[in-house]
Formats: sequence, C-alpha cells, structure tokens
Amino acid sequence: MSKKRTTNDLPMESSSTTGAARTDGAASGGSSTATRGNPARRPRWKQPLATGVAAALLILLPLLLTPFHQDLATRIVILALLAMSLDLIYGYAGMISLGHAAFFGAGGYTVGMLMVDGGVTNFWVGMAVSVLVASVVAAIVGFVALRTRGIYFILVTFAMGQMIYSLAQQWDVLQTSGAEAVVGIAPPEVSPLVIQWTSLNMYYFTLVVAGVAALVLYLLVSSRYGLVLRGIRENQQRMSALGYNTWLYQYSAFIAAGAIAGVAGVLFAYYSGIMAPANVGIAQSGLIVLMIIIGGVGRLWGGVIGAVVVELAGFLADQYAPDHKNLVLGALFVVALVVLRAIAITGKKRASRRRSEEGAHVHA
Amino acid sequence: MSVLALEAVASGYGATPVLRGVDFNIEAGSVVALLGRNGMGKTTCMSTIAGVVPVTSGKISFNGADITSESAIQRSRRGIGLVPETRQVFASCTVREHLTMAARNGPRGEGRWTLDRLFETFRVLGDRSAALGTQLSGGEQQMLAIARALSSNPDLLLLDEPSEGLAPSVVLEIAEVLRELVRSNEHGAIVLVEQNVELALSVATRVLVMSTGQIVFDGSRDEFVEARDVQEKYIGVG
Repeated sequence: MSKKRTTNDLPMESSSTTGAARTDGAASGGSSTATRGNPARRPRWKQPLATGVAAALLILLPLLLTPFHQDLATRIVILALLAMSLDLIYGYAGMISLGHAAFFGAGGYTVGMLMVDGGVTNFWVGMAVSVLVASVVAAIVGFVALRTRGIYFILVTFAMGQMIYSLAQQWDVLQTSGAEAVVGIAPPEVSPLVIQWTSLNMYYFTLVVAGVAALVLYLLVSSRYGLVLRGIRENQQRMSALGYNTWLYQYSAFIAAGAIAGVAGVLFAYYSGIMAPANVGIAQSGLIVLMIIIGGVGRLWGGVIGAVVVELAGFLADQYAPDHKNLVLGALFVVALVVLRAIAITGKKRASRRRSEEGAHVHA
Repeated sequence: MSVLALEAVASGYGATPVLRGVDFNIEAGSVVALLGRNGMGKTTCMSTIAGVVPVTSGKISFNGADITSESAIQRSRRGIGLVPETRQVFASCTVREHLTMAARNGPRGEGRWTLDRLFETFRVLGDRSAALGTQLSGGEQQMLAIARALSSNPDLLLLDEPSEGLAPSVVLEIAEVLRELVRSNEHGAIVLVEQNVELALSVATRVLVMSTGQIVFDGSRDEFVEARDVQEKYIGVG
C-alpha cells in the first residue's frame, strides 16, 4: 500500500512557501535567467537585515521621543496592525472591504463596555471576549458579503460597515455618560505583570501585543493556507478546479482578519481611552485601504509603511494645516494611486519585455 | 474498466446550448484525442467534464460514480485534472509555489507525481523553480499548467489545446512531454483536445471527432487515419 503523502513530504525547504515567495530565490538554485529581474530572488541577507533594523528602530526610537510623539508612535503601531489585518483579505485573498473598521470598532467597543459598564479591567479577559465579538461580527458580515463578488462585495461591506457605524452612533448601550461614545476606558491590568502606564510603557505594551498578532498573520500568509489564498486572488475558478473550497478559504480569512482588527481595536481603546463612532465609520475604513495601497498590497509590511506615511501626513497636516487635514489626506490618496498605477504599468511592461527576451533566449 | 462515461450529456452557457447529447466512454490507460473545428464544443466538453460548466441533461460517470451534479471541487478531489486552454498561470506565484499549491494525493491516496518527479519530467521548470508565472515563456507556462494539474495526481487528465499559440520548436517540446506522460500513464487516462492533428495523432490511441456539440466519429487512431472523409468534412484536412 502506498504511503499517504502530505505536504511535508514534498522535497522543499519547508512547507512555508508563501513567505519563501519573496525570499526563496537564493535558496532554490534557479538558472541565471530566473535570477535576472525576479523580485523573488533577493540576496539572502537582505530580509533579516531589514527585519533587524526595523525591530531596532521600533524598540529604540521611542526612547528618544517625547511622550507626545510616543503616543503618536503607539497610534501608528495600532493602525499598522489594522492595515495588516485588512491586507490579509485584500492583498492575499483579493477581497476589498470598505467596512473593515467595523471589526476594529467591535473589539474596541467591547473592551470599553466591559471595562466601563462591567468593571472588567483584566487584559486577558477583555482581549479574549473582544476578539471573540469581533470574530462573530466578521463572521456575520462575511457570510453576507461573500455571497457576492467584485464591486458588489465592496458595496455590501461598505453598507454593513455603515450599519455598524449607525449602531454605534444611535444605540444607547454603546454610549456612556451622555456622550456619543464609550469614554473612560483605562489601561488594563495585565496580571501577573504590574505596569505603570506611562506613554512609553503603553507604546511597548502595544508593540508586544501587536507584534504577536502580526506574527500570527505572518504565519498564516507564509503557510500553504496563505498560498491558497493567493491562488484564489489570482483565479478563483482555477483554484476550485484544483479542488479547493474557495468560499471557505475566503470566509475563514475574512474572520481571521476581523479578529486581528479586533485586537487592534482593543489596543486603540486602551491607548485612546475612548471609542467613538468615527473609529468605525467609512472614513476610518478608507484610511486603512489607503495605508495598504500606499505601503504595498499583498505584503504585510506594506501596511506598516502605509500606516507610518498616512499617520505622519495626518500629524503634519494637524500641525501646519489643521483645517485642511482631510484635503491633505485626499491629495495623498490621489497622488498615491496615480504614482503607484504608473509604477505598476511600467513594471508590467518591463516584465513583458523581459519575458519576450527570455522566451527568445530559451528557444533560440 | 471505464474511467469516464458520458451519456447523452448536454451543456452550455446560459440559454445557449453547446453540447447536444454527447456519448463516449474512456477506458483506463487510454489516450484519447478530441478533435474538431473551432467552436464545435471541444473546450466546453472538457469544462463540462471538469465541472466548470454545468450539465443541463444527461449523465457523467467517473470511476463508476455518478458525478453529474458534483461541483468542480468535488470532481477535482475525485481525480479529474484540467489543464485549461488559457493555462491560467498565476502571475504572483513562483513555479514551485504553483506545484506546492496544487499538490495533493490522488483519489486512492497515492502520490505518484512528487515535486522531484515533476522537476525531472519538466526539467525547464526545475531550472526555473523560483521564477514567477509571468516570467515564464509561453511554452514554460504550458508545461507549468500541465505539471500543476499532475501534482494533484489525477486519474483523468484533460488537456485543452496544449500547443495553442506556441512556436513550432516549443510545440515539439510539448509533444515530447505528452509522449513522456503517455509512457508514464500508469493507470489513468488522458483526453487531449488539439487543433494540431499531427501532434494529437502522435500521442493518442483513440480519436473522437466533435461537430456542433456531438461526437461524429469514435474510433482508433488507425481508423481515423483511414477515414479521409471524416478528416475532410470535420477537421478540414485530408
């Protein structure tokens, strides 16, 4: 009887192939033609070096900042995680959602209400319940939205996001002290640790939690699961013909992204002390889309770059043109789309030319 | 033993019928060429067998099981592998990722087509394992599409126009790959849709000719070679 073969039996470096998509070039030993111009084939030392530099910056830079700027850094970390979570479904699974802030809000509102109304200050309980609620909201929205495709999917996520926004605006349960928001959210008790909540400690706490969530995302997209999601993004019908239940993959990715957005929402609630309808609305969802478009779709760290650019632009606009912040962000969006589209077209032309040359070379 | 059986199968796109009562059986170990002019329903026939186009009437059996109402996903898991006419190679995935993504044990749990064996059979893919789909030439993309289908270890391989749009020298390479597949075809079956009659006859043992959604000739390769009238009337050669 033949032995049951599994993915692990395949003669590869590891089953984590998607991550290797951008790094396995040096390890795989391809031909010289494959090496030329292949973005997958970058020197082996580059990614660890970049990761090391980024980690050092994330850990050390806040030590040099004022508390005000440390708060800004905390906000950037949270929004970077939120953007990364959207990239799981947009960049990897090919679904553009305009209601992603709803899950961010579900997490933030839940932890806020637990603390303000229920007196639950424990981080672990608050996080677990909030992520569960965000996942359930994502499961409901995804179940409805994934009955559609393309522009209809975008519109359904937009509509459902707006419904949740209206709920946050009008439902008394989601408001405290007569305000149209949940206010008075305090930093949590992270037993067994005893944390003195300074701006710097809030930053490091946020960085650790967001780092763990980002690692989960990385493991997801680096696995065969992530590879299948990319295949679905490329051609859903082909993936079905290869035997994959594409709906289930997309649905599970939608819920996972919602859960991670919920983590970001919880962190935001602790950081800001308030959850307001504006945090779950279309403007927030649009900003997240803008972040991953600017940073690069389909690569998790693109969300980090996008969050840094968008938040710094917003911060500078607040400083120097406070009345025109939305104008600045709108202009940034337009410029980013025009420039990135031009880059994409140039890249496609270059790839097409290279393919022709290589084809001629191979078959000469 | 019959791997695939179509009984009065009709299918089409919306209100437009394409297949109009197609009947044929395919035995294990056989290599069947499905020939015909453009627009006669060959690609629709392949897509219908693979479950991409729904059956409107009739019955499809695969390895003895009625799969008429099954989805493309279920049919793929049963062991039907389709190499589509358009190749549908993924732009952002490397060669290795394409093959890893599709890798699955066959319907009886066997894994004949390992990554090693695929790279041995398709040497150019082994050389370019880190290249992205869009960085491959047309011939390489075709080989990748075939290898991707094989990596799911199908019992039935459906090849739709593998030589279409390729330079003559590349067609020769593809032909050699097909012959290698035929040589190594342990217990499955291959259906080959091909405009290049010469290529098709160089690998097939049996020929089906399709015209206006129906099978109008079903015979051995030798019988087809003798049937000049069929070739002239339905293929345009002879």
